[in-house]
Amino acid sequence: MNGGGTMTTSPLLEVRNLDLDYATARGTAQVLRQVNLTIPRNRIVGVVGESGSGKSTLASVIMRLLPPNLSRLSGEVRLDGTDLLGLDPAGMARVRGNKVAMIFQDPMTALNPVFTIETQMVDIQRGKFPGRSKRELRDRALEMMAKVGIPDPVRRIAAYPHQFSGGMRQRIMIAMALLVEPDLLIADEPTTALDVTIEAQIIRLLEQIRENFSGSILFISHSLGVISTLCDEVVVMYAGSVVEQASSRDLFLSPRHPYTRALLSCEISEEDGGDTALRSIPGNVPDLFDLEPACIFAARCGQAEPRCRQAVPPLRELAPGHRAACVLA
Amino acid sequence: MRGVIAQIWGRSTGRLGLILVVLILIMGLGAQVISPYDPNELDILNRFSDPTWIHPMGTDHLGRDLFSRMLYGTQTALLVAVSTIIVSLVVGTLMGIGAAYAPREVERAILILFDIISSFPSLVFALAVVALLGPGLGKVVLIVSITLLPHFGRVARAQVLSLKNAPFLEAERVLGASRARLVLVHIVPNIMGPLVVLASMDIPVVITIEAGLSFLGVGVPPPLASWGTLLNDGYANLTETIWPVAFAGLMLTLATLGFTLFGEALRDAIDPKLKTDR
Amino acid sequence: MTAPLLEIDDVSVVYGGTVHAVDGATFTLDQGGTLGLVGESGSGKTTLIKVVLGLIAPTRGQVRFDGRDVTGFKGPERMWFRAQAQMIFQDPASSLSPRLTLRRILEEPLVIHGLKLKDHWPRVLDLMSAIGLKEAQLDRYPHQVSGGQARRVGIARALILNPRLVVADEPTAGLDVSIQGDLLNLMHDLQQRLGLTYLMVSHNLSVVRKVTDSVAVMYLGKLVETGPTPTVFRAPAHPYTRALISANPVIDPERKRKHVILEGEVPSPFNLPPGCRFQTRCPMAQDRCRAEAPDLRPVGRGQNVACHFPLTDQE
Repeated sequence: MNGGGTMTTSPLLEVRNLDLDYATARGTAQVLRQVNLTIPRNRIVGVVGESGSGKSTLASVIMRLLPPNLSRLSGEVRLDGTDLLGLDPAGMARVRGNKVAMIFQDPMTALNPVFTIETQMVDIQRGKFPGRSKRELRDRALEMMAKVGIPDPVRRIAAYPHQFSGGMRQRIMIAMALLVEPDLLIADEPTTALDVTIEAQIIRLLEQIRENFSGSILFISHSLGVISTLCDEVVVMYAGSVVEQASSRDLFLSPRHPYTRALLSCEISEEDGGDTALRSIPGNVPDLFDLEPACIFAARCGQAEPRCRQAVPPLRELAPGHRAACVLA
Repeated sequence: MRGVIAQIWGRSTGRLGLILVVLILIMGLGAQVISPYDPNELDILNRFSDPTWIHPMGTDHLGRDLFSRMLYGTQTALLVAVSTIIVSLVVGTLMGIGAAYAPREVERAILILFDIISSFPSLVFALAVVALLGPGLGKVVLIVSITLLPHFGRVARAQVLSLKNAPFLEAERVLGASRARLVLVHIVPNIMGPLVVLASMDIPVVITIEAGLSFLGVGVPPPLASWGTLLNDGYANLTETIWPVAFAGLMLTLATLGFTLFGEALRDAIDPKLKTDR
Repeated sequence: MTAPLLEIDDVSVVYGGTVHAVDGATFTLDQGGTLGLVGESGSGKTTLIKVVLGLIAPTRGQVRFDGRDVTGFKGPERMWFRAQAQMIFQDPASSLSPRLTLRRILEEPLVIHGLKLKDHWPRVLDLMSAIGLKEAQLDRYPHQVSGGQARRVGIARALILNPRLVVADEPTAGLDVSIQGDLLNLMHDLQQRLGLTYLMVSHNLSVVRKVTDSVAVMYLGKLVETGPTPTVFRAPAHPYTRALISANPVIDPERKRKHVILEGEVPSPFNLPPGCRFQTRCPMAQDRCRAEAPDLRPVGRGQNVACHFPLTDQE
């Protein structure tokens, strides 16, 4: 399971030329356009973007949890070489309970309020370990609860979701996700609803987990600080496009895309005195309807040139492992 | 408003309901204009007439024109239904809002009152009151509106409770708005939707209760025409002619069907959950 | 030295006789200043600002505005205070009456205070242009405008009555970083132009560090530390403040600070431990902390801290 023997260097997940449209009352919304990204094995890859960037939609595509008003989906999502978009529903269901697990911003949406934690933690393992007895599965659950820092697991396992605090619920979600030993764990804004000291605990927990976790984590967040703290690599999304991907260090120390730079400059740093005005990115995120074949950021970009408005710039490799979708970068 | 009507029209059951409701409104409101005869004019020689060109629905046991009586019966039904619903809606809503804002003991007392009222079978309650006070249009309105109070009161209370801590009300309080202003300007417009739907769904209930009481002879007093008294008269003379029973029954059926379908379509059209999706 | 605009003096709010939502809060806010009220959920921030605005009467203690006791206000005095102290809400869309047009919403303050629309509307228009609202947008309903516009309407409504104190409840919550600067700059400009005093509730410590000049940290209903913002951020004296600051994630990969991560969670306000409320999570709690509740007391440089063993500079 942990891939120790097979020295594969192929990436765990490859998203290729992903396009996704929604049919809405106003017309066709191009929610994701030509999204390309790679998740290597045993890495934490952060996806950062503001509202409307498509980062959560990307997670839904990987999980194939898509709303009914989907009108177009093309491209490839290859997990270990298998194109998830080509799987039948039964095949996809096997991937979900088995190879890919997901945790959400609000754990209550994923936990069933009428069952105890024990029932839910045992049930989630059945697909992956069909042969094991309930007792074995329960013991695994208890062990995992202790690992994610839930005090007194033997007593707490009999409780219902609403009897836990927000932070504890998120720990339960993480425990449930890890119980199926997924190759890929998708975490969609898992700390956004939490208080900062609890957020710090969950981030530390994820850092600890990775030491014994053979899979990769796709960590989605709007918080540059959280992404920088936790992730090895970062993908920056803007209005449905990937604009930059690099190692965390490269991205935060030498960002290449004007959007990434602008976004970083908007963050309040410790040097900011009381009197300097704060920066912002002028203009608004574009509507995703009737998009022109141009750089998606050109309208708000301070450096935009005429050629930026003539074609969509492809993601280019600027340095080993550092890619940006900008002709000026 | 126009959008709501369009949505009701957009579905077949809603369209049928709307047509029936409009038809009944025309019959009721226009009774004085449309009816070919005085509804109380006797024509003993022509009693038990079958439907003819002169008497489209025939005549009853006293030779009165059934079509004219049916129109006036529609008017009675509408009059009773509308006044009952208005009284019940206004009083019930005020009680509900009052309960939501009142101290706990008062709120509990109001809720217990609602429970008592709704645990009474309304027809039995009405019979008891009429037995005590005698029949009459006003009493029918009063009785039925009391039995409907809990409907509106409970919904109004629940709506207010869900709104009570809404930030927009707090914003108004910070500005210094009085409680009366909060209720009238900000709460009432926001809770009217479900209450209006409820009112339209209660109309057929009131119509049947009025017809039932009148059928039993304790509702609308003669000679006022009501679908219930028409049914009763027809029933007494069923051996002579079936037309009075048939037409009165048909009117009652069409009215309840029409208002029910209309109410359901209205509910779907202004259901707030569906609305926010647009 | 003028008297402070707002004085919170030993304010407590007790629910049901036992739950201390706010316990003995004391701080002051000078005219024209900005105070950041910081704390996690359940800390009592929301209750405290409601007390400040006179929406909840304190069980004990006093709120003085301009030297006058807020809780004693009745009739005309109360209406005067309503104009003097206003609020900007966390979720702008839900703070606007949904069945009224934006124009009606902006008229509300004037109507409630019996002011003639004709005389005051020009001033409203001036205010709107300073805030970046156009009159043409006013015939829409709250659900028909963007979040940014709703936010501006909420700010305009709060300022129409010329308040001196504005309470801002999480004004940047839910805002993307790329536009949060616009809002904070706008609030700063309005403060300069109109001489406003801000009481800002926020969980975003970067924002608090940047825009406030003093800060009050709450934990479980108690103020644990107050003081000038630069001092508190440079040298927090309460272990909780230090943990809170250190939990705020830093972006720069070269300046990763040593994290002080608090164990455990905020205990239930229904059964508080005796002594210091922070003892269950405090990395340096001692016997005295479990026996005796510390009071807020000055430790120099304008800082006050409720801790038996306050941290000294650089640990």
